[in-house]
Amino acid sequence: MASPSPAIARPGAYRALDLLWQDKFATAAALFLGLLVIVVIVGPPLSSDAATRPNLGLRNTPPFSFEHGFVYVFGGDALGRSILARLIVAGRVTLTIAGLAVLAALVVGTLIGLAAGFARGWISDVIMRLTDIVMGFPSLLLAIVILYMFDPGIFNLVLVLAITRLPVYIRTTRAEVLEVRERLFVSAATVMGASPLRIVLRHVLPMVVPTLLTIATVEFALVMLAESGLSFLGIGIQPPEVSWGLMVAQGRAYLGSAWWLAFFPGLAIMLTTLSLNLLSSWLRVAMDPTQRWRLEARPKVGQ
Amino acid sequence: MTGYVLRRSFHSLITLVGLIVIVFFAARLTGSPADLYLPIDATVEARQEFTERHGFDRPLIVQFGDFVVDLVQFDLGQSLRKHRPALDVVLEAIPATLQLAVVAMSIAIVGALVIGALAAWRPGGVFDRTASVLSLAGASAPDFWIAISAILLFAVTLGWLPTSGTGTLAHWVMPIGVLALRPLGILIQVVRTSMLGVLSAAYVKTARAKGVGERSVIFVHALRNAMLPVITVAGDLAASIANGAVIIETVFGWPGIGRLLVDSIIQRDFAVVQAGVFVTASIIFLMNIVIDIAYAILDPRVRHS
Repeated sequence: MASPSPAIARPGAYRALDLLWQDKFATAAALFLGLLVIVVIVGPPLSSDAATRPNLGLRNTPPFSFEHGFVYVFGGDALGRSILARLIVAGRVTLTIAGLAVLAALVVGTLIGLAAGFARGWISDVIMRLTDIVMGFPSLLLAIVILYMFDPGIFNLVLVLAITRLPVYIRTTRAEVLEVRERLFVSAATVMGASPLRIVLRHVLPMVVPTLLTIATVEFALVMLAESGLSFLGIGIQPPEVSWGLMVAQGRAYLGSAWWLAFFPGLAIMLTTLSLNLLSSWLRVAMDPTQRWRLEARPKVGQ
Repeated sequence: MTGYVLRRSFHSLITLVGLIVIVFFAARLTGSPADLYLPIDATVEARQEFTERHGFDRPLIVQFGDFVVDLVQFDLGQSLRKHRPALDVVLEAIPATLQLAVVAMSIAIVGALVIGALAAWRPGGVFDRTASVLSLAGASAPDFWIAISAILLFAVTLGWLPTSGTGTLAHWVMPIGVLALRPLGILIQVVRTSMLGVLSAAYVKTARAKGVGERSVIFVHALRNAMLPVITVAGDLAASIANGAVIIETVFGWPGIGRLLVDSIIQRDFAVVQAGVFVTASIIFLMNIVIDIAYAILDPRVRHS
């Protein structure tokens, strides 16, 4: 690393893209996720009522035939509705729930973690024991028990998913805070009279954010899988609303005669979670200054 | 070592107690427990009678006291569906799940150790890259989808394996294969990372320098020291394998605790749900202690602290 690579000289955004380009899997994942988000936002208004309008003449239409127009490229479901249109509507629900749950868990978990890291003493102990309770029990079981007692609606689903994923952020933030607060620059800030709030927000939080973002990417995949699993079991999203997991459950009855009903929504889940995981392992390397050379060094080998 | 294990056990015990307390109070938060215990179409009189008979109209703290006394006597109420003690119903379902979980977890751990170690041996090689992508796919796969896809392929189309149920050895193949998939994918990555760190350690170079065979270096010198993070993650996964079991048992009609809980929830049999949570939490509590002991045995730093 005697001479800085050209990537370093450029401004931040270009450099990030450059780093992304070095990992072809991560690039493909990012493109897929970007496309998915656009389709899910733009798709439902465009497809009008194709996702909800039954068409009994097209019941279980096989996929990959353009006979009935592009809308039926993935076939029709048991009521003759377009699977493509339903995938887009369901994707919106799935991604919204997962996104809200991850965001809620990230924000609340980080705040609690910061508090636990700074408070020490009994407050920290109580917080950590509470996270142990949530961590110590299978999250899906916890979710189905809670959804049994409170009605399964979108709000409760988000709440349950967020609560079961809180401990990850609390533990990570607390551990990082405990480590960072002993560093010299924090001591220096303290000596110069910075208030605890300023130290947390200005000096500690920026150190923790990269780690938390990497975790949040993986967590998005995990939360999606949990929501899909719950909906598949019939305890998550309830008809007439639809999510990818629920679509798999609905297609299960036609497994022998119309495999595409359950196959495509499952594939959508799989591709999305895989992309998130690929992107997250790239983030882990790209955001770690001691690992980043693995991405930067590669083009030189080819030159 | 005893101090360490005792301290950890105490923490696990707090978890167990905390969970029981939370389930008790959450059940009361939702309104009258009679709504939870009785069928949806129960009459107002039946609810009234149930509430009075079980004392749900008394102060919460008194109810909690009774609940604890019953719990200590292993009385968790009657199952609505089966008209038998809920605890018996749950305990009958436990062995089927334990067998499934133990076999799947063993396969995942052994498989991950071998594949992960081989992948770390030549980082960036063909085997490593293939293993990385496949393990990531395994960790990202929605298990319910893999399960029904496997049924479609191996049972419906090829007719090699039975679709569901128990009995012969062939009934085990799909449930175990699908259940092991996610832990296997996650563990391969942990083993690989851990091995990469260990393989660059001085004692591995020493072993190589004095002419120890490559196989012995990897599987004896390095792997033993790379085991610790693997055990930690495997411990966390072992609790979450119950998540997979819920799905796998439902899809494959496996008569275990996961299917029992889902059935009980759909048919609103609250006593069984509560007993199921209690028993599952107790098993995880015991398992955590075993893992802590294993950790203490393997890591001298923990043993002598």
